[in-house]
Amino acid sequence: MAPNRINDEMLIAYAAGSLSPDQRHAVEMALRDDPNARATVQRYRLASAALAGDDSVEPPLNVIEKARAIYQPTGATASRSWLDAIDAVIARLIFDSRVQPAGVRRANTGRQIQLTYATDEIEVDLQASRLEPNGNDRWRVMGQFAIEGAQRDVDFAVFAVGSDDPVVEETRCVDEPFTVELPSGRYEVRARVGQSTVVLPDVILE
Amino acid sequence: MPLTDTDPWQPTVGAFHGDSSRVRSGPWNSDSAFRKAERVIGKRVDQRDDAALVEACLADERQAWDELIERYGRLVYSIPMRYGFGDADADDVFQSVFVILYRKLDTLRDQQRLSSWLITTTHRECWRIGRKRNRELDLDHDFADVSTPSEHHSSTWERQHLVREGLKRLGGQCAELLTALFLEPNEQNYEQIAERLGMKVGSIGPTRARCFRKLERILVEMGIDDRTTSE
Repeated sequence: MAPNRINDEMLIAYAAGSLSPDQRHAVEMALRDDPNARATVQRYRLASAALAGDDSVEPPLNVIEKARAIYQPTGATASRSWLDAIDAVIARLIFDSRVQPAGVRRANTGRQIQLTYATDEIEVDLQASRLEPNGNDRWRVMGQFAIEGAQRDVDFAVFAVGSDDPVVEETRCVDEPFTVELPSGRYEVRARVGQSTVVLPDVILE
Repeated sequence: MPLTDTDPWQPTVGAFHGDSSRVRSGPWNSDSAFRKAERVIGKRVDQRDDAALVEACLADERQAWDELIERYGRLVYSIPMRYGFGDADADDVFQSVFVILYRKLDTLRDQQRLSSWLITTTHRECWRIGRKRNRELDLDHDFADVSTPSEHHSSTWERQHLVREGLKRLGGQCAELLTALFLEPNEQNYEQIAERLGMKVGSIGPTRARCFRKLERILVEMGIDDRTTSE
């Protein structure tokens, strides 16, 4: 063995405490001039001590499975689980032109409805206009989301009350108006803002 | 130089309070060393670093989320268990931590290693949930700040996690051999180890060296040296 170099086998044996006293001495002499070798010895001992003292335990499978279910892809074609979120925030209807006609410009309230919903974070304005009937009673609903803070996209879906399938599902930038056409009826609007789901209940077009 | 009580890298066995059955005790014989080796190594894991997995999660890749849980589940779950939490409370902490991780993915995309963040977050959730249950956590009272774990615990747990993950990435007979030798370094057990692995006793030394060099590269790549500067 060259005086100032040691081979890997000797070095690791030294780190593991497997050498005779004479061999140890020889390695220690060589280590004085070899910081890389000293680092390797330290890493071996760190690894060995870490594993020997490790009392960690694996989580049970059911715990892992629950954590896996936390994940909800945000893509439009991915799981619609946000639409079914049970922790959705129900928005308050803070303005309804049909019950507050004095707050609305003179408009034929039989043909136009204005609604405003709000939560602590967002406000949604809806304006529904009855279309000229062509045998079908239909409404054109224009809406806009207003959110405090950073601009972001909003995913929203419109459900007929009692149905699990959305009649409309779209994505809009905040402050960008949207327009949908719906037949007369009762609806619920669900919107996803970041990780939160907001519900606009009882959108009644009649 | 054998590991001694004064060895600076010797872990403080018994530093974790709580149910003693959860704390390793007594020397390991080769049989139990191999059983532990099987538990340590598990399956080979994905080579993507944490930042890449976070990006993949944000890009709607469910598999990436599963891999984050696979990578860090043990680290996270073990903390409330060490603090003496029961199974149900440890489950609550576990779920809370991963919900927080999920919600904060966007802010963690530049984090090369999540272990430190997860240790701190888990510790805080233990305190939060523990207070809700009026539980007195048996923690080291040296804490200057109860909202963060002690540096000793944090660095120890992180190093254990890195070594375990490094061995998983190494895989194969190298991982089995090193694990057995780490757990039982005495030469008296070399014959049993060699027999179990189908090796010649005389080849253990050179194979250990070769395998450790591979592990060392992995551990350095994973950043183990970042945790040694304070030792």
